Amino acid sequence: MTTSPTRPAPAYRRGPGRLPYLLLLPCLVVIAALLLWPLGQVAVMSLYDLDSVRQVRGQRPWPFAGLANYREILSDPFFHTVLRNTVLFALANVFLTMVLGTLVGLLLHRLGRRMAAFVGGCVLLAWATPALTGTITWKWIFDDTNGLVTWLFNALPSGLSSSLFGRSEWTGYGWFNSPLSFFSILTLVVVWHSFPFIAVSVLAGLKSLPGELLEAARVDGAGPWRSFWSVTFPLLRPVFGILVVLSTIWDFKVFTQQYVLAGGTQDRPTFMLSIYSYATAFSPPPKYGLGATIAVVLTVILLVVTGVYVRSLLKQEEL
Amino acid sequence: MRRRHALNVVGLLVALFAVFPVVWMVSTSLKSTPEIFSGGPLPFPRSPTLEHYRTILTGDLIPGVTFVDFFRNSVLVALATVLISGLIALLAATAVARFRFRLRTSFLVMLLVVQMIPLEALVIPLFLMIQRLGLYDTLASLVLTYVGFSLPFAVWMLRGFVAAVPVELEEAAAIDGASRAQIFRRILLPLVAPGLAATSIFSFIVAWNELIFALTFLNDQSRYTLPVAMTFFFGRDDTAWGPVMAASTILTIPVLVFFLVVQRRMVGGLAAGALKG
Amino acid sequence: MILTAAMLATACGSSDDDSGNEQAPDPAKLTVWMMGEGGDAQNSFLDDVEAEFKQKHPNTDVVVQYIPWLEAPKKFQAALAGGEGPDVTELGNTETQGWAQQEALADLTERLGGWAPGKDILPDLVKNAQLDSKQYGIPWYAGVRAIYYRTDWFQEAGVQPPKNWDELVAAAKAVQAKKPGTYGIALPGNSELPFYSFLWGAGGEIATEQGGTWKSGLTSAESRQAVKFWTDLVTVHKVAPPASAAWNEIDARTQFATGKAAMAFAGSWQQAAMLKADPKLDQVWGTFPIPGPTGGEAPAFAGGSDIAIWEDSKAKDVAWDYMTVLLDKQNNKKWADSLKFFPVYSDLVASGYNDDKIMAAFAASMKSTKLTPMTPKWVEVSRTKTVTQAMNSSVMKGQKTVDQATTDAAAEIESILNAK
Repeated sequence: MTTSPTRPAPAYRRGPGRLPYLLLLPCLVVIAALLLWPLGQVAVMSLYDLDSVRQVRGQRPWPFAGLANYREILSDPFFHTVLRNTVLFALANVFLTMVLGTLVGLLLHRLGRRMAAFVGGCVLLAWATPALTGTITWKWIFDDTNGLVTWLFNALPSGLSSSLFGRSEWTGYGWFNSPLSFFSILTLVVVWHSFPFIAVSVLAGLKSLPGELLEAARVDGAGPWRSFWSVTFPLLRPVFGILVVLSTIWDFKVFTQQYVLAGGTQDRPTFMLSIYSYATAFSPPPKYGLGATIAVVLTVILLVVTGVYVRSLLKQEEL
Repeated sequence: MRRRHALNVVGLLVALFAVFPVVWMVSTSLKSTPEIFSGGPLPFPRSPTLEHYRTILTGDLIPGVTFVDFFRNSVLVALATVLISGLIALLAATAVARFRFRLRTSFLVMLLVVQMIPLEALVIPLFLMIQRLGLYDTLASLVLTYVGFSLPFAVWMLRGFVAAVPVELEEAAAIDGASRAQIFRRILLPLVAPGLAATSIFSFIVAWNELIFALTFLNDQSRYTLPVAMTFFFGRDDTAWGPVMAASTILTIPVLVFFLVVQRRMVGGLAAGALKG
Repeated sequence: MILTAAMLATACGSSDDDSGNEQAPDPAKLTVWMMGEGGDAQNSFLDDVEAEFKQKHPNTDVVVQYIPWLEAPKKFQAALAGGEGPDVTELGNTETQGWAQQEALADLTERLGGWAPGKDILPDLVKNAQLDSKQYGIPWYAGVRAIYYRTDWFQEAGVQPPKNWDELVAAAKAVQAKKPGTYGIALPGNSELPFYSFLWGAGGEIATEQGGTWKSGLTSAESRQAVKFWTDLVTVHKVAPPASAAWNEIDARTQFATGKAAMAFAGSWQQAAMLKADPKLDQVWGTFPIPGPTGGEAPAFAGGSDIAIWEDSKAKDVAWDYMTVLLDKQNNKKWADSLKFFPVYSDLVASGYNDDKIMAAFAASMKSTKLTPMTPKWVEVSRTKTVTQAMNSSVMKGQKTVDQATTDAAAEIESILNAK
């Protein structure tokens, strides 16, 4: 489909024939069997009225429901709340992750070698921390009795803290109580986890750029803001494109962090699509058909949202 | 000069934000219970104690099974996942980085698309498949699942590392009469090995972290992995932050170690990977 | 599918025999699922039970596996979907009907009918394990919630254990004033069962069935009075902090155990966990039953666990033999005592607790228990959508008025319970 005239073909590439397909075969088999086929199953389940495990097991008939599950979901006001939560959360998180990640990437590029290695190492440490334990730790930091944040707020002079926040005693303040503060903390956790990948990718992109270009821009008297938008960004556009697509995918599907922070699937006002799908399918009484429907809707939304980017990337043959 | 200082200060702040939770986790795990309850802000324990580690490692968390068993299960699953997923990904990455063929772009788009699938929704279909394959209650069921989950991203990253290996080397070898297999084994593999290591951290994290599938696919508790064992701390009993942080530390350290080993190669590889495949 | 499951079960059940007829020899192992984390006391108790069981079935090993409470639903569903499951399982007594509806549990009606000690089990508990008047679980242990209080703090503040709602508020305020930095009551705002004692105490109902249709009683004046009282503790009297809107019983109990609250709602079985946080607590604590609005003891929900046989089990007869050993009166008393729960036999509950300074209040509450609505759909209200908890929390957080919250909750309960 695409050609790459800049790079000479290796000798053994002449007439690749079946070789690339053979190389792809194991990968395709695995993806087809473990991702695509089950996804197909989920799509099929979404068309049936499934609310018993015995049905899943094939011991009871599957009443065909057509699009009834989809109608039920799309007309449910709670689904709209969930959808709004998901979209707003993903937008905010992609934006914040990209901005913070890019800034840190630029910073790492400007720092001295030793400093850059140190800061880079620390940043990647956050990225390498498992989502499960990272989130548990944040939950502990925000614990309403003995958590660090509670302690810090208590340490504020009580006059200041009561004039600013209306309370002088913060022990017992529920940091996860209101959806807004819950989502703020969740955003903090998710951005903390995901900005390092962006930062390092941006840094990698910057390193691959010819230094003369930025130098020339600086000589021309362009400030950092201008040189970023007129030189760096256009050159790294494909990198940013891919990073935005990946971040969007990841932030729409946030599950572990929310599951741990909310302590399971109880806190319905803060539901987002992936936890909603999971809770619908698996919380008793199980509703597999509806849960599958929500999962399909989530996948379709992601396809639509990222489809635009992916198409433009395809057009530029930058994949 | 002042500018440089300012940058360094900002850099240190960023580093602090990034590592703080990890530091806090480790330090809490070493604090005594009364010190934890006093909720002070000291980032290190006043008088370090290993009591929480002792609770976890020697305590009868589940009768007859120790934390060491969970640890071993997790290591087995993670290593097997890394090896298998790395091998399959390398083959696929070579295909997309070295050849231009008809379905190449479609394949790359598919790699992106399959990452959009909400994995938690696949529990039931995958469970039925695992059961039909006779793999229920085996660590192999997890390896299989995690290979599937980690593969798309592994291929995506690895193609950059493969592309970064100069084609000329392979051409020279081909001119010398080396076969494709020889070129792959003697030239490409050694050169791409660092990248392979860097990519494997992704697969490692997937396998090391995963909870929902492990919980569903395993029955015998001597086969539980670490994240599953962790859920026992969040049962009916109150959250004992000391042991929980100690368990978290034990769960986190191997990832960090693995990661420190491979991290230096990562930036270079990402540079190649991010730009062109 | 069914065949595979049967073959697998046989394969792990007995190694040398695959004839599935009634005369099947004893299986090599009997799998028993227990909820929670286990512990030394539970292990040694179950070892004894196994030894007794082996007198009749010497060739069968009992394999006990622990399932964390929170993860149990997923585990059950997976086991059910795959045809892999235990032979015998413990399950929370609020969940039995739901799993019976899912055809996970074997019908025990006949077996219970032919088992003499079964007649002495407390009738409310037995009824709670029925679906369509068939028995799917046998009660194993039971407990009610009461209020723990700090005797030393009460003495300092000069108050007595309260006998009605007004005294409860007054005591909370008095102690809180005397001990700055503590709360009068550690309120589990995100739990429903302690609250139901207030609802029932005021004369309210959660939902009642008339002619096949469920009607929620949450909008009645009595129910609203209870919701108002419960939420006022946070919003008006401020004897519990705003965070308590999100506390479950464990969070709340921890506040009490760590010396941050003067009173807490908790079950008798939670003594050990609280003593773990503060081993000296037993010198300064006492209990009293949750009071009714103007006095007396409010009805309490009898929580606890049932024991059931898994429908897919290939060794139901052996499983029943195991259950009868586990559940016989002597073992039941021993087990309940070690856990600080109550045995399920009325003759055992009736006596022997009056001198225990902690258990006496619970034993008093055990006399008037009530059940949550008897329908398999209740679990969706209670566990999945947490309607009652959300109703109370929303008032505590100032998001809704009592009238609005109860109206919304009643509508939601009715729509869930009456769904086809």
